[in-house]
Amino acid sequence: MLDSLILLGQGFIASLTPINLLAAFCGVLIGTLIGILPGLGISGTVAILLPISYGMNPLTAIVLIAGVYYGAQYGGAITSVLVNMPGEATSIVTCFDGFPLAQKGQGGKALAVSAIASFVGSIIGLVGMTFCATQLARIALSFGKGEFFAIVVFGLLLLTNLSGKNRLKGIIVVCIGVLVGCIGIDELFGTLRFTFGVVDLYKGIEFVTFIMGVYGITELMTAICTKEEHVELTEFTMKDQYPDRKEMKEISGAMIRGSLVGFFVGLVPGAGATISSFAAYGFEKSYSKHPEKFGTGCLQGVAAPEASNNSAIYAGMVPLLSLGLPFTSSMAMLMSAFIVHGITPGPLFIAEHPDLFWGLIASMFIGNIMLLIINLPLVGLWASLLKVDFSILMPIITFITFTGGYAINNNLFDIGVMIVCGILGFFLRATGYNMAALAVGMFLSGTLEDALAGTMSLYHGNLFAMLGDRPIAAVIMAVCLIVVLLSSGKSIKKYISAKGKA
Amino acid sequence: MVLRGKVYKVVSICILLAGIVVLGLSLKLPFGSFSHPKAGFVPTVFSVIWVFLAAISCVLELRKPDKTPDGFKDIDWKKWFMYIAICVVYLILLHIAGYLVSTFICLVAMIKMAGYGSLRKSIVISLIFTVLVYLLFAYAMNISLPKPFFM
Repeated sequence: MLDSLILLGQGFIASLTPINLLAAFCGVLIGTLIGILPGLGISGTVAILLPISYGMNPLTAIVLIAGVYYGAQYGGAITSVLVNMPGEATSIVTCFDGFPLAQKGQGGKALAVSAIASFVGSIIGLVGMTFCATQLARIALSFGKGEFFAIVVFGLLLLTNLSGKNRLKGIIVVCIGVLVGCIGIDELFGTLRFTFGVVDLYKGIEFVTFIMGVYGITELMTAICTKEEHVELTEFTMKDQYPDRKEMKEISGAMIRGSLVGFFVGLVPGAGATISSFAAYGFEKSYSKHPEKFGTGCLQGVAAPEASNNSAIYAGMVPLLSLGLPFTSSMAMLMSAFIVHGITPGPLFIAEHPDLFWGLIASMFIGNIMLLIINLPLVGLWASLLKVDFSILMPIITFITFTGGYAINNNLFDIGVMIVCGILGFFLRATGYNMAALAVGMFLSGTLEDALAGTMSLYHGNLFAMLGDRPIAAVIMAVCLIVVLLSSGKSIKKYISAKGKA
Repeated sequence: MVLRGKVYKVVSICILLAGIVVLGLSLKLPFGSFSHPKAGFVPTVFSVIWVFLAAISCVLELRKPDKTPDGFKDIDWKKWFMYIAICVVYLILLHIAGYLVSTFICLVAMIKMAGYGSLRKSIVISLIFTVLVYLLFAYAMNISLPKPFFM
């Protein structure tokens, strides 16, 4: 415990340098901005920022990029409250009570509660993440390829079950993602796969380029080509709109409960911040003495989901930092940022790079304080950004994306890949294919192949022998089987009842 | 217009066909054995799952009535094709005219296509943006941006 506090103190010393403070500030500022502007996602933005961070030292770059993640959660709530349009999917639930509050003339209060709840959720999430990541990393030191294979399968299975509407399509895109990740020279055997004689494909498709296409270009294409909607901004004022002592007492329980629900749900691979916010809202409603007030403009209905989605963001970082396994597309992008700067998150990360780990944690504490400061008094300025002309902004971001994509390898071929991925992403997303599963499948392709091939070789092709030898892997695989059986049973039941009705 | 209602079906058929092609390519790679997997092992396993599930998905989609995806309802298809066309022209132009000229031309075209009114303002914004991004990448980040073919 004392060691951790000393290391955290050193992390604060590393983070409080002018350049790292500036990086944290820029990160949270960009994060808030993309959270506010609908159509710009976290993954796409990080993909654009990644090439810009090349010249920075690793801690500064990670601080900048991590700032975008938690900054976006704060920004997403502003549009939910004022326009009834979530800037990020994680803020959908905030609309339920935030917008009715704005309609009652209490938009400023809703925004203040949202910022305070986001801060509380972040701090609780950060403490939980620090504890869980250090403990899990210690346990994971004894993990072999069998455990890693089981965890990857478990994560992908839950991702397809929890984050998309259609499980079947989710598993299909995971397979597509894994196969896209196989393009190029195979690292284990040195064989060329799916290159069609194109030299540019020998190195494979860069994950960041792929994400820039399926997220960045797809989002920009949709934003530019969607028929214009007039944004109606609800009138609000921050004057006398901060919650009073009685209201603070009412929402403090909701914030703590929301943070805890968010953190524990966020720990489940694939659940993410969106599901966490729904879970926290549902929990708070059932816990409340006045559930009928939810949906009509109730401060607890804003506090609980906002605390939850912020807390869940940090829970999602636990498997990333301790196992090196990201289970959401945005976490995969964050992991890319680590790899680009020569650091591989995993069980040894905390032990080998304590300066980076504790520096990142300390910068997140600082970043959240910055967010509270820039969100409360400047909310009017942020809201006015919604009036920016998209017909200028979106084309400019398109060309920044192309330039950033080119800068990764100084190769024009990558721009072609981004255009193709953008078109594919546009059609796949519209027809219900889960883009997060596609991205995570591609990112984990190498880990999956390494773990699967390694396990098969080690146990002479007998996976059951591995399960007998590695009890942790056996338990995880048993849970996978239960998940498959439950979800298949649910689907068959749904199909039979639909047929019965017909 | 008719095709728009069949998007779900067309996409699921395309995914099935793509899966079959990938499976064919995977089978050409050395598979090894279960105890000694080689480069074709993982691609074959995953493309078999892909084809199997895509076939089920395809059958399910074909049995459903035609439906336009929600995401397509508000799409201006003329703008969509123009967006793709500008991106492709940009890629070709980068090879010929280099970064500065092609980014400037294509950005003006995209801003106008996106519906911004004033041509003069579009030109000024595009010029400022192109020069700033060029300076940022070429000088601050030391990245060599594409040059015209004659340089």
